[in-house]
Amino acid sequence: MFWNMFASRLKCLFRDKTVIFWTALFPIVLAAMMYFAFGGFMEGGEMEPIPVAAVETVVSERNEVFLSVFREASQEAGDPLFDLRIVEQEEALRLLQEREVDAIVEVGQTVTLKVLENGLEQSIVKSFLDQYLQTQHMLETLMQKTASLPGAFGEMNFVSQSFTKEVSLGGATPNLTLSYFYALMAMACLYGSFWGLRNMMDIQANLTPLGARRSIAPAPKWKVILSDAAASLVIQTIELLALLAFLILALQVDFGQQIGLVILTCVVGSMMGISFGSLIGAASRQSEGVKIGMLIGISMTCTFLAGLMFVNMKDIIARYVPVLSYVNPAALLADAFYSLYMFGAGSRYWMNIVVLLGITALFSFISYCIVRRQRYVSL
Amino acid sequence: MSVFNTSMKILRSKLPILLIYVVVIVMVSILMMAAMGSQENVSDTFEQKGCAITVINRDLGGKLSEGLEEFLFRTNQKVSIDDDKEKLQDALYYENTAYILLIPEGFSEAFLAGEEVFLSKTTLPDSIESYYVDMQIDQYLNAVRLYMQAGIKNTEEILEFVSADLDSSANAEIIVSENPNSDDSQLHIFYFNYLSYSMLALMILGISTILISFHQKDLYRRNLCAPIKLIRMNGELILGISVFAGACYFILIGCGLALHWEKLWDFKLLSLLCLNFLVFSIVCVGIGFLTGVFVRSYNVQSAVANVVTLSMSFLCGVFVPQSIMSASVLKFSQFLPAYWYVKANHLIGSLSDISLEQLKAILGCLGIELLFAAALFAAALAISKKKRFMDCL
Amino acid sequence: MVIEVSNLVKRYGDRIALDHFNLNVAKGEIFGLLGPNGSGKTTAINCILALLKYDKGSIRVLGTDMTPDAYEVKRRIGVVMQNVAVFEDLTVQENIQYFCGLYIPEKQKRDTLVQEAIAFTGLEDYVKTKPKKLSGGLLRRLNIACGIAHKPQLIILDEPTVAVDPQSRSNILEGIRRLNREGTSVLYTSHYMEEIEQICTKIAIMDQGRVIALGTKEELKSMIKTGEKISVEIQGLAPEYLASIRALPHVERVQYDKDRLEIHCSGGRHNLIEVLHDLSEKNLSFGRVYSEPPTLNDVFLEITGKQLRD
Repeated sequence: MFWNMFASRLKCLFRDKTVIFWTALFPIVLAAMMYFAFGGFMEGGEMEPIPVAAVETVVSERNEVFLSVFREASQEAGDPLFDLRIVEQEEALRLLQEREVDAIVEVGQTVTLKVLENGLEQSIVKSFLDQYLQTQHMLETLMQKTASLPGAFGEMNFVSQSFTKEVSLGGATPNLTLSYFYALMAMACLYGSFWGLRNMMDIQANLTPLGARRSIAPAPKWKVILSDAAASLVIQTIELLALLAFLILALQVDFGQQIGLVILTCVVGSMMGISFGSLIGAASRQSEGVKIGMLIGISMTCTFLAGLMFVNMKDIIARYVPVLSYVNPAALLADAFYSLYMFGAGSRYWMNIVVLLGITALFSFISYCIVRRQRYVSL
Repeated sequence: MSVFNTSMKILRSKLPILLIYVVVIVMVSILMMAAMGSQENVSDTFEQKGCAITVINRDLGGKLSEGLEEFLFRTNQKVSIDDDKEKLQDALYYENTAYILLIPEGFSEAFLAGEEVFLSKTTLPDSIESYYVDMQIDQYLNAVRLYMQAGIKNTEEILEFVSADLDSSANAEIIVSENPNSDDSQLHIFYFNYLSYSMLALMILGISTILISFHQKDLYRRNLCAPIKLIRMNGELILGISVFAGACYFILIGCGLALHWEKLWDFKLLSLLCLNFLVFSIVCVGIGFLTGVFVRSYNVQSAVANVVTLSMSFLCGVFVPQSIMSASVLKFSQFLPAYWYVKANHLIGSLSDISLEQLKAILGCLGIELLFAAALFAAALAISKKKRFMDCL
Repeated sequence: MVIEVSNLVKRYGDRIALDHFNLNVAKGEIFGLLGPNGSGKTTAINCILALLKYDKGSIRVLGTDMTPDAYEVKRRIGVVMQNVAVFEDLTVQENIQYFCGLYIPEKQKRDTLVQEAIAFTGLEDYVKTKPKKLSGGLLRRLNIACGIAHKPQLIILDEPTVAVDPQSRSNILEGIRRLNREGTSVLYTSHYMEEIEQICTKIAIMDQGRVIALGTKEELKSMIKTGEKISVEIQGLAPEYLASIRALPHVERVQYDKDRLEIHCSGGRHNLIEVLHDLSEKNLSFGRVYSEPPTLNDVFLEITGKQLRD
């Protein structure tokens, strides 16, 4: 009998086009849109050459040397630092006003930087100019000192050397854009609540005629509830895995190496979402429309706090209101995906999963208590 | 005015859903205001911009390390994080710090002894920040090494020289832009860009709700049986929709102005932005019409509204600035009206003077928006005629 | 004449929906249009209301040629469609106000009419209710209220009682009679012959796009041969006996099925006695005996050779 109930429930849910749309199609569409919008920085911030206009107001040997150094920095093979244009004064101003260049370097008696605003690009140009002047200053100091000190000028190595080495802290490459997609997965999990709500609507005699009919049937209620829950869990998990496949295969979103645990997270997320929807369905006495509104509203607030709209939100909450990130299922899910990606299956990941399971158990227990052996004041 | 009144009543019954989109824009604008308000004001003197860096100094007591650290924090902001791997990774991931420098134990000694030693860094790959900080570190250490090679043995003396050398800096000035609001206008652009999301959602939901109600098959026939000219009925419907669109237009702009009057008030800028928004609102009405013609049920309606508004907003640079979107996506976005709306907003924001050329570019965008609107209305009319005919059989 | 339709032809592609359809409704009549599903009743109504284009024929309503912009005529017609056509988002009262507002521009007059329509349909307790919360019967009443609030001279009802419970149905029928007594002409379509028989003063039976019979119900019934239908519960009847019954005077048709003998007789005063006499003469024991006048179904059956309702 259980299988019969399970199978017909599965069929029934699969045909609910509205819920299928919100739980399966909508997250996929949203993911695609986000991918297109963030497509530019999925690869991380590439260093682009900084456009600079140089103007030589006084022609002198010294300035020529400077400009040749400048040019060299703009022609380095591979990744040049600057995109240099040597132009007339007026042209330079025009370029600056139209933001064709970030800065003007005026080479006259002294070297002057002219910019419209303070920014990192401008600061890099400034640093470059500073370096030139500092080296000049240094050479002057050295001239004085070497005259007094023994040791030959010729032995000195003027070639600039790099003293830093990139080390990884272990784990994967940080990429903030991924967080958007982790938060999206969390949202899709929470939208599983639509199934939970539907289950509750269909089982309570005071909510729908179908619920009334099923309350009369001789099947034990726990069996009905269990078969409904199992059917919705199967559908929701399939939908999440489809979304996951879309993210990984089509959009190349990196979920780390442990795909098995990613899938486990999806299953836990589905359970959480369904139990959350059941709770709303069982606990609230409002009409179905209001309940759906509540689901969307709560899901959206949770995912907002987990960083779907503003990616740093999750971190801000975690640092300033840490309690909130332990009770917000969306944040827990997003953090589970994140920690799995960054640190692998460590204590942080399992912590998230355990708390999620706890929340799921709590939600399910409360809804079961409400629904079990209910008789209604009014139908 | 029965039709008009009824269309208003129908909208009233959808008020809670419609209000969500007004609340969204209000919330977002407040959040954004808060975020932007905390930013330092635009200065008219040049300030070396730094980035947020974290230095983990394990070389305690090393003179060179101290000197380097001091030099780096002259221009960069210090972000203190415990020497804990997970916390450091978190900070880097969420971009709270852009550069983590690890000075190993005994670095100063080894470097001054002429050994080949390195500093460890962890950065966001290929970021401009990492390049910038590298440049500063190398400059400092190269200078120190140069003095060592010159034969100066006294560490303190070297550091003094280096410090003096690094004090020299190029003159830098900020040219007063001919467009004084270039930075302020960010807020305007942001607000008006976001308005497009709310407006589009409101128009799709509102207009399609009215049209779905009036174009139910039998109800439509019932209307046809009434002694009221079709043209009058459609006229009243159009009036109702116009009133609704107008109300949304003023409410959305009004919310922003009421909340952030001091920051947003700028007549020249606002008038152009409002004009652009007006044109885009017409496009939104067109999209709403088309949706209303196609869609027959409320479930489908909210699905369409969500997908269309979110896609349009993501693809056209409403949520994410066009400047950081990839060129190929933007090429596609040109086939969507919101792209031109957002583009026009940015053009208006960076308008330094009302020169003919710049105005032409802006008007070009508005023209394209109008063309979109015309195409949408034409399509909606053609389809509705065909559909109506089929329904009446 | 309130409605004059002559030689109306309407084709949907190859299919002929109305085939030289003629209809005349006189003032003060409740005119019933009876026919099986798909016989063209709704098509005819849609043509009369100028909702549909037609291929041939002429339609005059209230003395004027009916066209889509005959607004003066439309003002005097009330229509109740087959399906409930109201705004989901408006309350009962708001719905009636809207439809009445399409006919009556003056607000004051409209308000009294709306109140009257609410009272007429017995919806007083539901004025603030939205249609979604109304039961099927109440919803139908709202549908009717929307169509008649403006006190039209002619009301066209297209199957207004489909899927309505018996109580609401008799309510609706009673209401139509009441309107008629107040001077309203009514055109009423249905495939329920009982309803038509109950309220209509004149009836047209339609089949395959034509009117196949027309008249009062008495006239219609007298058109056919059957004047009386006698059924007898009787067990194990020998086939040869059927022939002897057929030989009785006035008997038109005899049928024996499932222990039930059915005898169609033409008009005559003593048919029942004749039959019973014959049965007792042959010493046949029988159970219940019924004698009924013919129904419209019999009329339809005899003219077309098929049942009115399948």
